[in-house]
Amino acid sequence: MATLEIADIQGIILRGYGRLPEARFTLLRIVDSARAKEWLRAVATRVAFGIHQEGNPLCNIAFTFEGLRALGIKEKNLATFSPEFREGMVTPHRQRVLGDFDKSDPVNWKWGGPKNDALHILLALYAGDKAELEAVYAEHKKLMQGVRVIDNLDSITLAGRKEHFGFRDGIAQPFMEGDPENIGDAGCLAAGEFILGYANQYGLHPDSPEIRDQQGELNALTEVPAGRDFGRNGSYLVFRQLTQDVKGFWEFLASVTTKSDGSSDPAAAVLLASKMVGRWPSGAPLVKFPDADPGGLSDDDDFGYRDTDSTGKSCPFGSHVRRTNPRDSLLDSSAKQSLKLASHRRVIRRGRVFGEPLVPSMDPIQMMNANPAVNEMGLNFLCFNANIVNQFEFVQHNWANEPKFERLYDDPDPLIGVNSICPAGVQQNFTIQDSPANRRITNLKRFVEVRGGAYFFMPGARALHYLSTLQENPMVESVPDARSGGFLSTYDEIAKGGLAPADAAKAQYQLLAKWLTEKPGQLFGELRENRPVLVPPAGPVIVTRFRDVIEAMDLFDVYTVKPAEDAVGVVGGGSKFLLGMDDTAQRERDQAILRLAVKRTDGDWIRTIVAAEAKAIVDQAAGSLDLVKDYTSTVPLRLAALYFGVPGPDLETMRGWLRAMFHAVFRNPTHDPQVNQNGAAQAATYRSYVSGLVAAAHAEEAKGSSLPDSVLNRLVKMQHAEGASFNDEEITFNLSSLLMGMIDTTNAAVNSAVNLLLDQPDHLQGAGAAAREGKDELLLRYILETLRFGPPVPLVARVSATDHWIGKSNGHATLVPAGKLVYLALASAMMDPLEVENPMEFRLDRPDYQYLHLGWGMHRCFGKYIAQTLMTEMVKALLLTKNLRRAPGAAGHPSLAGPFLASFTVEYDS
Amino acid sequence: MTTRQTLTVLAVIREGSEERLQNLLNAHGDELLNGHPSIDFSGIETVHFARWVIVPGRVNQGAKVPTRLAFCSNHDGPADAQLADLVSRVPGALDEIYELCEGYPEVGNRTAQSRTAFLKQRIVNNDAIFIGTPDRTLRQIRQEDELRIALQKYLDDHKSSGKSAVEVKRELRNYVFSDKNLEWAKAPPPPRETTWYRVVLLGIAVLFLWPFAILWLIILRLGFERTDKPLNMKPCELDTALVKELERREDIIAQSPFSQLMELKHGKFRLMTIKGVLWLSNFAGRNIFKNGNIMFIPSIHFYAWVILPEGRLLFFSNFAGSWQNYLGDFINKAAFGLNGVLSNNVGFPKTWFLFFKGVLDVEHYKAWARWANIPTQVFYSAYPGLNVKNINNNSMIRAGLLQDMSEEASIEWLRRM
Repeated sequence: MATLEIADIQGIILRGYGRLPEARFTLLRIVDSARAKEWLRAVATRVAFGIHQEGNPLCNIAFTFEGLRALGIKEKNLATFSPEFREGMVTPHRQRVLGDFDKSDPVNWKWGGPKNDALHILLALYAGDKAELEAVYAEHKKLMQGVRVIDNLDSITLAGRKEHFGFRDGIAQPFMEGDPENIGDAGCLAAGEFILGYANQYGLHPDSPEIRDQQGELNALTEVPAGRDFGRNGSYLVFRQLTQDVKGFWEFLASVTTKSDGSSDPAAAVLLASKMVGRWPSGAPLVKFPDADPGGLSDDDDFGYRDTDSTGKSCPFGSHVRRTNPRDSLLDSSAKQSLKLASHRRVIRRGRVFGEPLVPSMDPIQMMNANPAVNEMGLNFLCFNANIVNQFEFVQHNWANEPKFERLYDDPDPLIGVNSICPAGVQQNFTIQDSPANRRITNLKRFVEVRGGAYFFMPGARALHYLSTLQENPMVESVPDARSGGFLSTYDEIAKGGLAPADAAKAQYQLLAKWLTEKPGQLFGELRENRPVLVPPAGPVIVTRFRDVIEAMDLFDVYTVKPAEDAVGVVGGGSKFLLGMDDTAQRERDQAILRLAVKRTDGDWIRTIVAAEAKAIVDQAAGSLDLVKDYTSTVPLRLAALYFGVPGPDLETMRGWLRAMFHAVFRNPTHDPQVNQNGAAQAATYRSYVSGLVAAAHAEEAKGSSLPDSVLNRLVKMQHAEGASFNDEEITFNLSSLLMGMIDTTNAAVNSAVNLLLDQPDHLQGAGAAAREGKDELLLRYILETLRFGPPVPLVARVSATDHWIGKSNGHATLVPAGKLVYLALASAMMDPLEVENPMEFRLDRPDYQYLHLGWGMHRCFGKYIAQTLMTEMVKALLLTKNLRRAPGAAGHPSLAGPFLASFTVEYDS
Repeated sequence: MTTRQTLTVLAVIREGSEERLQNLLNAHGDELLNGHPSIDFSGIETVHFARWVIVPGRVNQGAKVPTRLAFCSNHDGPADAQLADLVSRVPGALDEIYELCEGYPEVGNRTAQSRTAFLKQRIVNNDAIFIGTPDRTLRQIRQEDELRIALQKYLDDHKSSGKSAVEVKRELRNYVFSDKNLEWAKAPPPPRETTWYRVVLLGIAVLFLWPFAILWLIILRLGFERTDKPLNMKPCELDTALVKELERREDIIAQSPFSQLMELKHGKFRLMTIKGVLWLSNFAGRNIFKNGNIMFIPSIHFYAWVILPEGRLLFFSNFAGSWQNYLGDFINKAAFGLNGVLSNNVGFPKTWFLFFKGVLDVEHYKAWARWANIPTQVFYSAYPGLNVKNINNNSMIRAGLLQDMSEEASIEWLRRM
């Protein structure tokens, strides 16, 4: 038996701090990971460990899974935490396991639920009195940086250490082997039941999270075969905030114990309540005092059921304490075996009561007669265990909620297992074993509801320090930090600052532009939560929520594509292209004609071309390839040649033409005249080249030779067929525009996807497997999901044609005045937790519609399927190489030249 | 006495139809779980449990094995009657499901005979089964629960304090005798199968055979166990999508299905070992653990083991309570017996002399169990609200009702309510 390393174990796991009656559980969210880690370093020196039990006040700290992720623990390391901790307390299955329905449904929670703020950290403060608590909180508040307080759950201690129904609580706590205070104590349980790094009751070490993918200062952590042990001396913490309807509880008991003459029988009500609890209000166990409460206060934990109460006549089988800790009583087992079974399921409870009690005396009879409560009251239930599924969840599920516990039929735990809505035909009873026959209380009611909850991990001292040494996680950095207090506070300050309206508007616009370029993720996150539609006096409207973005794209008559029309006009030579056309007759005609030339049924042909071209380049490059220069725009250009029939005089010229046009149309928000002029000039040359191709096709036709199949030739041939067709000028124009839209978008997407994947070895490996097994659909999912964290098109522009209230059906309504430039932030929408479940999580099972990379509705990318094939096949050819990696140094990271990528070199073993 | 039997049918799924079949079965399965069955088993008064499970094929190693569809039901009476019931009651479902399998009669050619013949040809042998509540028909199980509910209602409504247990019991009997709906309870329950003599015979056999068993174990230990390669996966390393798919169907009704597909370790020796252990398990289930507590686990309604010809092992069971509870019982109570069977499968945690260690490597075992777990697409239980303990207790109540008892015995009997 190893001695506990108590200097490395947080104090609250070992001791309940009973001498500190006041507590505050502060729930925090990380808003700036780097600063939060600085704060952690400062907090770590104040956290109480097993050796600091003396001073007041005391502080402990724990993290949710999302919190650890936000601090930058890599995915491969996160994957070593227990599944239930990773998934959190809220999943459909766990809802059934824990019985969280109706009022207790996580959607109704105050914190920790799907509708609540993301929860990252629990800071628990314990103090001798209220003033001391406030003082220590103020001190901590001053320290805080990079985190935001979501909520403070204050807790108190009631007279006689009672919970609100009036019963003494926290009695039967397990003792741990190896704890210096328990040396020689019989009946201790193995420490590994509660703390990671020690043997448990099976003689095995509980699974412990590990750092397998190196990061941070590893020296402090113990080495294990697969890496370093992060979990050692830590423990999983379950936190559930439970409210208690005390008045309702005692009224119910009074109502089912009225005498036959209709008068109330308070003593019978207290007896029944005690039968339900299994102990008297004093804490004295029923099994020892079956008839009356001996009074006083009792912490008696020295009893079993087998010899004294095998029939349940003193303490019913269905009572709360007999079922949540059955000791030697489990039927179908010997007494010894029952004790062994129960020993695998213990938890260390560290709960604290909250809310003023119904009556200060805590006397049940007074509670029955008291006025209704004016405040909420209940229990902040906290418990520690090494394996949440095996311990806390097991007890809640199989012993408390299970109506068929032992030999019962329809008897849930009368305190914490009753459902408030019970399906027809199902009963909820409490059976009192009695002679000659058992009695039943039928139609139990639920008096305890869940208001919030989460699973935390409470690390040891060394692991806590380790957390503060982590580097930022690139995947997480791009994820918006909501309500960081950065943008909006300054933005609103400007309006109030006494500047002339025009100047204020200008200053606000400058601020917005700065954030949009420098910290778009953070800006979007903050706006999404606080001002989902930002309407500045000058400058663009920003729409950040998924549903609002969709609404705007669906209302194409209101949110017109005028910006694109104007931009295309710059290089367009007087014609209009799909992309820049609202819902007009010409648009319908043009689209119909183009669809006949660019067919979905060409999919296999396109895939063959792209796959072959991609493979040829990857093979030829022999181990080192600059994606930007030689691959990601080259392959689409080869498709332009072989499928569209527009090869260009040579690759470089084609690339230059299309780039100049794209620059003017899509990457020139300031309308730099030089860029526009260059774009227009190059476009003219390019069009005259294409029109030369069209003329050549006519010449071939005139000679009577049949034209090879290509999009260009199909458009030419359609001129002789029945139905609508383009004239030569239209063919030239549309083909030019289509290709302009194809090259640099796929170029950006593939580079972004490869860049992000290289930072995520797990996903890189998964995508690689998909590539090797020919699972194109799965590979595409990898790409789309990866791009959610770095979308190639972060926003699209529209202009409002009329005044419009956006978001009416989405829980807010914001007026967008007519004539405004409107930015629909696709990057933000795809990170919107209201639509995209756990947006920070990398998942392959998201529904298709949640990916907006290729737009939505009428203006969805015309070549969506071509673009997807291009992305998939280009990424695939790279993944099929061995040991794909970044080139050393700066070359291995994407570099920019103006608004475009300049180079990004990868290496592989050829 | 009507015997409970187990029918297992294995049909090869048409190549390319696997996904369609899976979607179809999932849809049916979900509706059954949600209480709006699209396949009406409830009309068949002999089916206790039924399931359809897609058994994935094998592509990587050894001979290629196609993906198959297993049907497994537990029913009263002979298999022929069961087939006849299925064919007459749910022909539409059979057509819809099995037309995606090889060899099902073509549309114009579907008759009761042709459907029955299709199923009959594909019946496979169960290598071991266990039934938690043997010797009782579905009808009896349902009736006995009605009786228990009626008695309990009577007790709720009539004060019993001050009376003797004998008096209360007599009152209850009078009440039952006066209620027309409970008329059937006047007759004593059908007798249970007598099995003690078989146990004695086995005991005698063991007296002679134990040296061979020891020798067998020594060979196993020295020649096989030491080179076993356990999977050694932790729960956190499991495929979360698979676990989600499995959990989706668990803890909705008072029973949950469990289906596993395992790869047997190579060689005749392992095959003979598992066959021997399964024979013993089958014997013990039928003759020793007759009150629903196989190896002292009180939660198992039913299980079946089927060794597939390609050297894989199928396990079907349904249990009361949660998966965690079920596995916990395996670990804490039945490690010995479970090791005997399971350790002959690839990836299982290392055992010592066949029966020791193994399952007791708790978290590795649990991960292995999930790893080999396959989704049960369709699961039906005729009594979703009852567990084995309930059913056996109901039978004791019913059997005791007609007996004259002493005061003590009457108290014991009344405690069952």
